[in-house]
Amino acid sequence: MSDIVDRARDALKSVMDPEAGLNIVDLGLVYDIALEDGRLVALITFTTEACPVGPRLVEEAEQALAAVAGAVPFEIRVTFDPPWTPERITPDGRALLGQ
Amino acid sequence: MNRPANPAAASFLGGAKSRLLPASIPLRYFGGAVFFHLAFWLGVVWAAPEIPNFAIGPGRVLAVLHLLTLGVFAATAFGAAFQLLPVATKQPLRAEWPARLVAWLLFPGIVLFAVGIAETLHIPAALGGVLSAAGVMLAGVLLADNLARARGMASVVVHGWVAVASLFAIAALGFLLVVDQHHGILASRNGIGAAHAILAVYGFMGMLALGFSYVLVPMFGLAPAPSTRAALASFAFAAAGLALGVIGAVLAQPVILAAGAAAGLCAIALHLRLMAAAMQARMRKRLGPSFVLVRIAWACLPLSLILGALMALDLWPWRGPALFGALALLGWLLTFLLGMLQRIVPFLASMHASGPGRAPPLVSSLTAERPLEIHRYCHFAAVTGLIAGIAGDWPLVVQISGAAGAAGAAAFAWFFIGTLARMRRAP
Repeated sequence: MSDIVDRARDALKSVMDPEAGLNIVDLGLVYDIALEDGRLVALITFTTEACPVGPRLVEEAEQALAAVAGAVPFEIRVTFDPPWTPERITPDGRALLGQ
Repeated sequence: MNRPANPAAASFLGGAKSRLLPASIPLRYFGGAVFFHLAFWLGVVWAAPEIPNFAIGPGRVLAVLHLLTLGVFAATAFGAAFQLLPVATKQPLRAEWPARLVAWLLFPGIVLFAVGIAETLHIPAALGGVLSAAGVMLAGVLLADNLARARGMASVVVHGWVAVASLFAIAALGFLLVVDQHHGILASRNGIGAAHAILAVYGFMGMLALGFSYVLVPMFGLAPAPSTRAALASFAFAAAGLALGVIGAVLAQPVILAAGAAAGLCAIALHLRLMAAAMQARMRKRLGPSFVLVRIAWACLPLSLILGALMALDLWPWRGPALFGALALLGWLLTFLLGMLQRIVPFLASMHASGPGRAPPLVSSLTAERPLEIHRYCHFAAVTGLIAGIAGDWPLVVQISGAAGAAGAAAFAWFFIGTLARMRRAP
């Protein structure tokens, strides 16, 4: 079943933060993807609690997961605990940002 | 499709979606600000001979000044606050129609008021004043209602409360000044005028600028959020400085005024330290030309307070009010707002160009660099030229600076209209 988690992570890489110009996985907004009682759960955050683009990201993440989840129920949870920090950006993301 | 089952997440998401206003609401205010920005610089050309020796009172300069303060500053502040405050407070606006109505009251009111006080036409001035004040008060009520229901982001909320309180005080003092013009009811007209100006510059606009910076600067720079505790400490100094400044102005007590400026400087030192830390830790190294404007604005903010303190203590020899106005209103506020608008407008356009099954276009794809480059050079030439023209009492330099500013404002309008056109064409 870890295959579906990998596919979910790949699918979430198609969701772009329009301000950062990075996908939400490389931006470090996806805290966790796991199967809980047969349910695919993605735990995500935004760069700030007041991020106006946050709801759009969730909508797109839902669409991305729907494409790979098949019959598996899924859920997106939003958390601000812990808050996002730039250290969460992946090496690929840093490279894209010119770090 | 499955929906979030977690109650907290579902509640947050439902609220967040409803907090996104229709594009027409914030963009009408930003469009109004773009229009009045151009009108302001053309007004500088028109009123140039009177600008270097300006003292508070009706006439061309005061009219041009209100094109800037109400037309550019208040309009930008309302557009940003109506869109961003509900996101920060996690509460939707109570209703959208008042946010639309404010523009219908404010914009015609500004035009009538400016024409009335420039040409000493009492009825247009009074009608424009009433319309503008009604728009400002309605905006204040709408924002206060949202702040009263706020959940979270204390650093933004406390700044918002003082900004809204200042807004009501500005309107009340402005009304007193208008009545005094005709009936002579005030013992100290200059003191009330100074308090009105302090509340407008550092109270309403200043508090909103500081508060929203704690969200916008980290967001644009991909930086960690500044410490809330440190932001609240900066706020405490800022609020104390504002109160002292207003009391000192009303009572005509230079020492209290200077103490207010000193407290304001402490607030700014803390604020800029937090901004510098965010900038240093940011992951997006290239912030673009907009942050050149923002950095220059940050430098002008403490300079304006130092000049204000020197003026209060009678240690500044000449043309204090005009120089202070140029430094605080143009060097700091206008430069800061235009820098931020260069980021906010494409960001909003990106959000509103997306829809169900349609990803938002990248913000960078909606921004035209060429007009912003032209604007930047013209803006710097205009502001430095204006300050030099005031300092040297050279009306011709002021006039040429106004023309440069108008060219820059036209370039900014080109950027704004171009961004909206790209938003509409977005695939």
